[in-house]
Amino acid sequence: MRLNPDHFWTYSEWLFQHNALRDGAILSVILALLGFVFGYIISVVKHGPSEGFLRVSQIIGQLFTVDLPKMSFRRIFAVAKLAVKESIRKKILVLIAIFIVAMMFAGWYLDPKADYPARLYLSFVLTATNYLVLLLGLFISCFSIPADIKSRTIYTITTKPVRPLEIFLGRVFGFAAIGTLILGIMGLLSYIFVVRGLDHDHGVESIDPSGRSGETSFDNRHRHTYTLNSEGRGTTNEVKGHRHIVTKVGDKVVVGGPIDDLTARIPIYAKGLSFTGRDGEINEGYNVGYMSEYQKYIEGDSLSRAVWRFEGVDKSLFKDVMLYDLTISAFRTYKGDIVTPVGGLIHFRSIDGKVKSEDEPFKVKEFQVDRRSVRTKLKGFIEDRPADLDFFKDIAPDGNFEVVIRCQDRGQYLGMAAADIYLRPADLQFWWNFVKGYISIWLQMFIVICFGVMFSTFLSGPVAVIATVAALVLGFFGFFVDDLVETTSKGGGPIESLIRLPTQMGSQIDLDLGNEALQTGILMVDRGILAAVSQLKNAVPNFSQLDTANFVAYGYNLFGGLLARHLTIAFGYFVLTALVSYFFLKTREMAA
Amino acid sequence: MNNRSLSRKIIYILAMVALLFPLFYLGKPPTKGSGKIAELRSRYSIGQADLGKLDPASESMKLATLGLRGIAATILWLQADHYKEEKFFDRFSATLNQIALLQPHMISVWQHQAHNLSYNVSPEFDDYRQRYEWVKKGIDYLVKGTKFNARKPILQYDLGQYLGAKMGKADEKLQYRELFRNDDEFHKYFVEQGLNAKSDDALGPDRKPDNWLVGKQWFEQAYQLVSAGVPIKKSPHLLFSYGPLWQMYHGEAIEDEGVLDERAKFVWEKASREWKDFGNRELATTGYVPVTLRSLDTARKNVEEVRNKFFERTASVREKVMASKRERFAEANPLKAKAFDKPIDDRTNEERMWASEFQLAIEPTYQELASELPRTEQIEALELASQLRSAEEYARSTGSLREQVNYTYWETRALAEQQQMMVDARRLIFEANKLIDVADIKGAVEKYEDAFVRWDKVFRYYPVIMTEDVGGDVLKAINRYKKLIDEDIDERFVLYEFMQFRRAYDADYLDFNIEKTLADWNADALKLGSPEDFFSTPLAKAYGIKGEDSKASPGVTPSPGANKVITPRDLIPAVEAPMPENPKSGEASVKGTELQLEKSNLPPTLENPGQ
Repeated sequence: MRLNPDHFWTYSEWLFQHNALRDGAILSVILALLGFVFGYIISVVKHGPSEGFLRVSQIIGQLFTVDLPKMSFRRIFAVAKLAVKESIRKKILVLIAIFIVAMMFAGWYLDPKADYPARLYLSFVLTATNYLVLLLGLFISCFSIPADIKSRTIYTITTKPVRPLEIFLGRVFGFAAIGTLILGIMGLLSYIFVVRGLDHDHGVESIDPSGRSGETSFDNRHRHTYTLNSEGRGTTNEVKGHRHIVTKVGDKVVVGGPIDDLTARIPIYAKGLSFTGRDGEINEGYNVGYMSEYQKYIEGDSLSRAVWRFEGVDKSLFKDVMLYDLTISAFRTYKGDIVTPVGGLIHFRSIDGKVKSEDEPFKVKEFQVDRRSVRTKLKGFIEDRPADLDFFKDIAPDGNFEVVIRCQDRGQYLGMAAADIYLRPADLQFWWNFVKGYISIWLQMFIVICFGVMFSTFLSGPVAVIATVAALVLGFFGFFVDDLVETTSKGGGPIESLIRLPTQMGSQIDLDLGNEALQTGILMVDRGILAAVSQLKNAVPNFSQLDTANFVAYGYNLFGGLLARHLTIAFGYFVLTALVSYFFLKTREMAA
Repeated sequence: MNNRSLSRKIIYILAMVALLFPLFYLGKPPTKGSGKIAELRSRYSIGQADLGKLDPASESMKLATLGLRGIAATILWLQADHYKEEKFFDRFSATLNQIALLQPHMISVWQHQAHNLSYNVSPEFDDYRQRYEWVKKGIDYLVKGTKFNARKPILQYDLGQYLGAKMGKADEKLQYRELFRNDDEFHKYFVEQGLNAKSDDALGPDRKPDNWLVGKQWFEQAYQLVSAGVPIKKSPHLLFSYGPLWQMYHGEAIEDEGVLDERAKFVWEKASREWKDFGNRELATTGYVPVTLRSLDTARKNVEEVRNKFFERTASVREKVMASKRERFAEANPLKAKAFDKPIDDRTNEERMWASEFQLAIEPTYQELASELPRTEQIEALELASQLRSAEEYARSTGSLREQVNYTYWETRALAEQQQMMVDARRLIFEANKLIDVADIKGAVEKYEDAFVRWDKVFRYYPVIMTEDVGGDVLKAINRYKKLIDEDIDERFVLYEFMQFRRAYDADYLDFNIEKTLADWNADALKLGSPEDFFSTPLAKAYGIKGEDSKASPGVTPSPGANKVITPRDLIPAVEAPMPENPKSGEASVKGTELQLEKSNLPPTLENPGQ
């Protein structure tokens, strides 16, 4: 799983150190000013300059003096209840039936031979739920207010009096409530689907004469080998992302259920990763020719090193043993010894480098999680003199230390990114991580509902749907627009694409129409369109960033800080859409 | 206005009803005189069920795209590329499965992505076992493709290639082959998919499926389809060569792994038969007449006969035509004519070229010769000319196809590999290499030296096998031997000539001198007679090797190198000389030396000894 540095930030780091609060405040001011200017222009057109200014000021004044102080939760609740009833009347619960049907036929599409079936199952249920629920939010939110306006029932509501803000809030909370109910049911069904789908047993097919190792039977398209210790307990090897506990009961060897496939690791990541080159100089790591630059490489049998810096590690989390995971990769410049994986050495050292542990050799396990451990009482060196060390007294008295990896094999390379080593003090319960994944989906649904209701306050139902879909598409595929703007993606903008497609001109060839002026014109127009779309994209939520399915699927705890960030973002959009809706409802004619 | 609208609606409805009749007629199930579409579908086998299996998952997925299947497939392809770049291989594999569901009848999808899995993704893994798993994924992908596309033999062909070339020729071939032969689940999977990977034809000498032989079975499935008339975009001579070639590579592979006994000879004997059958098969060419590769000698004889007849008929007019052409050509190209008239030794390089061009230009064509004859003889001459051209074309095609598949080399190789002398030579090298691993230098040197004597014998009888892998492997063995003895090798070394030849061949195998040397060696080999006569030859005498039933071969020209001193060390075994060899005769074979050779040369007893 790919983790970017911003994933590691705590909530307060994000808010203060990385200026989320400041940027949010600036954005709010800008949007408020823009909103005021836009509203004033419209008002000027309708009523003239001074009258227009008065009206705009009045509306703003009413928001703070009348509508907000006199907001009634009872009325909001009533509107919400109405929204729920309306949704149920529209048979929105059929979505659950659709979801159940999708679950039933999921087996047709899920590859039973996948290397990591847990990831596949979890990705499937989370993605399917995500898309269904977003569609749900889209359709229930976009048609409600326009339908009321068309049927004139809006008059009944506004004359209650239900204030515009209450109309918005009631609708949003009502739809969110029904969405929560459906999401909850889907979540439960998904959990059962995943757990049941992955559950399986093995028998014992063969036992070595020593009785301490053997092979399991072939079930669920795989088998394991196992080893037992002198007490008759052991585990199988890891196949398809899981293992089994094996115990000897009398003469029989019993293989337990799968473990490690549905996990939620709580990783402690390093604050940074640095590299040294083959001559010991500081560099950014080597690129061995891959297009993806996520991992950088160190050269074998040289001074090339990768150094992770951990800070503030709490020693109470680790008693006798510190567990850590490695997910590094290897690159060979020549095949060499095919049977033996590329080897490396790892040691831990203090920040000043004076105290370090002995080098521990390891062999690379690519595309797997290599679970390792280091004892807190270990052998090492203090200023190059051998010594017995206590990890949290000698190496990391303040919780800060470094982890150093180098590659042993000449001519080979080891590849790593910052997230490829982490400490693993404990694992969270999988079900709670699963729930957090669904909370992320709920936040996305909530944002879609807010946008849907907002658009429906000034657009008709179908047009509101289109506008919300556009926001969704920009939110999910906005990165593609960025690539086009930065010309990382070939093929040009919309006008250029319209020319390339029917003329079958490949994207790698430069546009050549035989007319310099025309070409320049097309490129300029495209640049303008893409810039406008890019700016528009920045105004809508980045749904691809809000998607946390990978955390659950790959078995990593969804950080509380990340969830809090998403909650803050959702709240920000909620406030934005509420204000926009308020102004539109306040100023528009309610007649259809 | 209303009337116009109403009348328009009535016209539309009437038109729809009228169209229903032909639609009904065309769309009916095929009965007498109707059901045209169904009949066409059946005739050209383009119905969904004719293409392959009907998969509800695939059909429902196609329907679910609501007409946007192309866009969905494009997005999936882009996603797959992205996952591959970012090394999300599990997602990559899952995406490929979705692409296959959307585009099950597009062959290039199966081919391209199977290649991606087996050749591009598998090397990304450091652990060879994981690499093997991904090679298997590519194979599995192709097998699925054969189910959706039952009449596309190219997929079976690719399966044969992957199982053979990928598993059997990769750097990890030893590991892959070992994993494959012990991969029971994979064998069962093949059996479930209709390929009996556990039949005798697929089993190696250890009675476990061998990747080369299973690959050969896939080729045979492709051959069945092609023979039934299903087209394939592969040249027939290449396509049908792979089956027997895979049998030969199987023989090579088991010999590399140390199976150097009757089992290996049996494998090569089977390979030889299959290669012969391939040589007797009629192969379509770009011309109108199919050729058989083994008919080259006959074809050449035929050409000579017809040519002689033709030239006999046209002898009287040949000079006249040549003189006329010479005059015309000399006028147009005086320099070339002058070069042609010069004595050969006095010509410069450029003049030699001009002279040969001039000669070609003035050489009369068959048409020209026949046209100069009197009218009464012209028709017969023209017919002969036509026959001659056809015969030459046939011979040329046959020769060309033979070269493309290296027919002579493999024919000779299969024959040579059946000889006990070659098996012994290989075994000695194998044992010498093992002794190096345990640091027994003296033992290794002795084994090498014994082996080189036998290799020399092999090369004298089958010179063409010096040129390819076999010669290359012997050269490597010589290099290892040189390092062990830490001495230079001179002309007294038994394989010195071979080394000289091989070095020159590696430098420029098209060199005229190389071809001449090889031709000379071939001529000498013919004079040697069959291998069982070897021990009566001067060569055998020079080596001091005697056979129990040695026959005198009078008039045999001493082979090159026969009178050389062998090596500084005693290459001749101290014990009794080996017997003459004949794998088919059942005579007692080589005895003596520390090799303990088997007495019987009969093929090993197998449950199903073959055809």
